[in-house]
Amino acid sequence: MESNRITVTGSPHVSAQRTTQRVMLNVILALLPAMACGIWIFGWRSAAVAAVAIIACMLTEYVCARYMLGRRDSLRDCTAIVTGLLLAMTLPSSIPLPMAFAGGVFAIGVGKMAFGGTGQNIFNPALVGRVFLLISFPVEMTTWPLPLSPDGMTGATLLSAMKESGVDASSIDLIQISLGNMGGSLGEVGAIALVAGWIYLTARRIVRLVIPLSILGAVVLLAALTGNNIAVELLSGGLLLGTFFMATDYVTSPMTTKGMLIYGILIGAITFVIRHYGSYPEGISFAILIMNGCTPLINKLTRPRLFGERRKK
Amino acid sequence: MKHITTFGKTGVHPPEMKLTAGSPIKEMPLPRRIELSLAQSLGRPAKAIVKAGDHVSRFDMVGEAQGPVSANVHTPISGTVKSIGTITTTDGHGAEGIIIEASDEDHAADLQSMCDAAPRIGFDAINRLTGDEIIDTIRRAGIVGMGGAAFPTATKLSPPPGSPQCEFLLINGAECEPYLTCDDAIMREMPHEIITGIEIMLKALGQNVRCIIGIEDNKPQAIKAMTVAARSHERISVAAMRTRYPQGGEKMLTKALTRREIAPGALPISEGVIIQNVATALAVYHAVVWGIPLVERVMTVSGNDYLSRCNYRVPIGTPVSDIIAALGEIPPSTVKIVNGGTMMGRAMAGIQGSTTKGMSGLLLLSSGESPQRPSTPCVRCGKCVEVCPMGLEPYLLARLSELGRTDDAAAHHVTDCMECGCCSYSCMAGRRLLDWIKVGKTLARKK
Repeated sequence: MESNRITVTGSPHVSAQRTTQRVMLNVILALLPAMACGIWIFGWRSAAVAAVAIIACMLTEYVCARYMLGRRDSLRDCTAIVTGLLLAMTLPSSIPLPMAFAGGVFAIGVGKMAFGGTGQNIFNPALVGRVFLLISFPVEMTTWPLPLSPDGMTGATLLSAMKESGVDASSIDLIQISLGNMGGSLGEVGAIALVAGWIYLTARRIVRLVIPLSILGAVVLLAALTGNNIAVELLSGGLLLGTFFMATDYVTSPMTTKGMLIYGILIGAITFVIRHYGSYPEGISFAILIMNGCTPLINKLTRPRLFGERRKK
Repeated sequence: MKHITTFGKTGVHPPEMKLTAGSPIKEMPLPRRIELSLAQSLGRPAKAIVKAGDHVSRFDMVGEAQGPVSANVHTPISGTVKSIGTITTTDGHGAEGIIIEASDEDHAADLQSMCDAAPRIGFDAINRLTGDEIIDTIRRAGIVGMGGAAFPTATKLSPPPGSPQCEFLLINGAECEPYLTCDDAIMREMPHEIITGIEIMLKALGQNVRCIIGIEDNKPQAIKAMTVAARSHERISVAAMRTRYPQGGEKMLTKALTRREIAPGALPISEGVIIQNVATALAVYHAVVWGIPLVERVMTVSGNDYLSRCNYRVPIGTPVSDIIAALGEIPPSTVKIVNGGTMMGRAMAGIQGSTTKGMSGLLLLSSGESPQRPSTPCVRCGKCVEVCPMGLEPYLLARLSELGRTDDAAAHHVTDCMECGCCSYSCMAGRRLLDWIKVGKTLARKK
């Protein structure tokens, strides 16, 4: 009778609705406003760069998973799409498309599959791809098209302008830059769109507040202490994109609240130090990668407190 | 009603699915044949004191406790002992058991005795009982904790010499498991009986013990009924708790009601606390006031597609197939049959076995209610760490157990896991973390 239909498993017999795939689709949804902003500001070439990076990531993931790990379903969780989209958003819209493709292959191939695939990587794959491109093609990666210019004029980003040409921070129009009217990578401009995406993810309880608030808190504090313009510090460069969407990556960030706090504060501090005292104009990518490397150690040092355990005196 | 309390920020809040919430307690017709397990409590199984062919009367003791962590077993029906040997349990394993069958005369006599039943002692007589008499009555009645763990109640009420002084008797009316409403039903229908049971236990525990009844706030009628019933009792209060699983766990309940934390591996008495379930308090009332041993309990028979779902008073030892026969066929959509609640209950291989003292629910779940999810790679989201009420790292314990690294798992406190299942429940990758943790726990205990 029924016995052939009845399944027997261990408890629990119910589960929450959330799946990895659903979370990743939500992240993609949250990135779309900023991506749309990039297309509006830098034209349809932005969309082409994103498409190429995503295709490269998905292809690489499929080939590696299929022929190295023997898994056919690894694209289903949509993590490769997120990596491709995030990578594209850190690139200048003028980047030659083969380079964007190479970045995607490196991001997934070396940044993720070499470690064993989803959940196994130490470093954020999108940032691995970006740093690979930055070191390999420094000219193309630092040529920034000017916003809303149809004739392909290029110029400096806000941070490099301030660093190299001594532009005064107080002369910058904050409303213009929060709308994205500045030079930069195709996804980092458009602060309002990034914040909107982050609020969505927070409201859906997909990311917790700890990491973003501790990064931004550290940057604000350091900027205030050194007399820098706080608003410009927050709105320029890739700080918001990195803070909201890369530092909060589940795989490469710590597990506990305490760990997240340490991780976030140090990312904020390292970013600030690189921006003001390092040779690169922007430091969020390196800061996140450095702290990704420290995450296993942070996890080890910030274990949760066992229920009922008494503090040693 | 006091302010609303809970045990902390851990745990989960699954859909409550209290489908049988408002429904009255239905009476199961007295079965003609019962299969009584002798292993109904923690510790050693009881020893049969009858043999095949013996005639037994309703409420007779048929199994004798073996040691303090074992409990007597009584028969809920009169009849002839058919056999003593291995019976099938709900989880498909065999257990030592007694099969009793009633003839027409036995059945008629039982029905008559139910009509004639009268309390054994009056309320003033309760006040004259001594603590030892009460504990002895409870022990003889074979009462065990009815929340699931089935620890003998008499042993719990008489802590070994040298234990800390008991300050609180906590009565567990949390019923945090989804679906289950049997405790809710008895609190709504029999609050005065439960309060009397509590009074009796308080008398056994001594003068300085206070009682707090903890009830989750998704049972407003139960909170109201118990508050009214407890009104004239100075030492008994009712506390509403914010609905959160696993609030009925002894450590969580203690934290929610007293703010005290029981140390890892310690018993509640180490913090001056003794915990009893509301159904246990009711059983104490029946044993002391009516002289009836523990031979029946209220359980929830439920499922979204099971239209005859209800709270059901069932003689202990009733074959599960009799319950289904009395209530109605299993719906064709059923994919899982669960003994207990959906978070900690055990899946059954089919309609088999018989009810026990600790069986609080029989759930018939459709695939929509209990979906099978594919297991994908862990993305280290940290949700399992966030929800674990014991402060463990489930993702790590599951991995270490899977790799056979028992010593490492033990070093990360795998044996402190209470198997509440919050980790598996909330895992977005659909990983069955608790399955592996149970393996690791068993291996670590063996060493």
